[in-house]
Amino acid sequence: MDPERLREVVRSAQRGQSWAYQELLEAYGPRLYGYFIRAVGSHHDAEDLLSEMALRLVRRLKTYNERGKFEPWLFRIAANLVRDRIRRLRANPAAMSLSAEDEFGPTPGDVLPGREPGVDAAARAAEASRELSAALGRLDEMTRQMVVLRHFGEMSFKEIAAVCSCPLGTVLARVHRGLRAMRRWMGGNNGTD
Amino acid sequence: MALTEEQYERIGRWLDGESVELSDNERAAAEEIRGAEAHLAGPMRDVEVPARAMARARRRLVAATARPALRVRFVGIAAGAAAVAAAVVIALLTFLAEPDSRKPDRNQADDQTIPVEVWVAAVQQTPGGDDIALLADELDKLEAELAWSETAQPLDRQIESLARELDQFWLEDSPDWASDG
Repeated sequence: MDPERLREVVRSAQRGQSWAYQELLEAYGPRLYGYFIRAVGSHHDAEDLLSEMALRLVRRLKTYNERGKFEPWLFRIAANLVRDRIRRLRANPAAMSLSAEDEFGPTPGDVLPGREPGVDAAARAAEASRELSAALGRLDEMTRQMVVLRHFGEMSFKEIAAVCSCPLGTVLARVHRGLRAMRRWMGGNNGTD
Repeated sequence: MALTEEQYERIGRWLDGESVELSDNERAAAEEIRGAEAHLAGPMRDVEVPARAMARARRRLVAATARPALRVRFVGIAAGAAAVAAAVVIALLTFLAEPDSRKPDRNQADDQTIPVEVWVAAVQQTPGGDDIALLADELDKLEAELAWSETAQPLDRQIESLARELDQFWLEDSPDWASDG
């Protein structure tokens, strides 16, 4: 969404126009879902979080100040949701959903027969995606958050430092070490070649 | 070679677009980070959003945005109902506090009252009006006597009694000369 249109839509949403909220969800929903699935590793939890995010958007948008950038503001809320969810899962591991992946591996739904038959490219992409999920799952929670926020939130390192309440140097150090480890775990193959 | 926190901070600022002079080590680390991010970008975003997840979020959004509108509508209806109820109570209290309000309108009653002059004229115009006039005259006399008897002194009563006896005498036992005359 271009900045002018985004400003207009946000203003309309702040005035309570439901179509504007819908438009924001359509524009950012897929990216938010991508962030959630990479951050928590479970489709079920990602779906829950996206639904919760829709509610938070309606509740919090009135507090959004136009002088700030919308996307970092949005993904800061998403990051807080992820943090709360992970904390809750740690406190109650039995609450893991049936669709939850085992250590960021495939969900039970992924291995059910009758899944879409993929062509080679799609199969390679799916394999790369699984490797990435597994690699992300091996990172500590904070580093994983930083890496995925950088991608999906399109945040600057300074903004990530603010979200994670960390000094900028710490963020860079963690991201550097994390990315290096991920490339190693993924065998240097990112699935894009 | 391990980088310090300060060096990483400089790398961060450089990657965020600030004009920062980096050492060779710092620049190498910055390029490594940038390259790794670019490599991971493809699979990172290779996420298919289930239609179910978006539909659920849409439903939640619609419900959340509809709630304030419903609240406003409910408040409006409640305010209207309260106003109507208050008006009914006030009307009821006014009705109970002023019993005359239940009677017919006074002006209307006055309109229906016939003046006594009209009555007199109507009676005088009827046939047999002389008889009625005589009766009315007798009634007036009786009324005057009653009024007098209530206020008369004993001497007055005696005089009145003698006058009546005299009238009676003249009517019943009057001498012949009187009746002839």
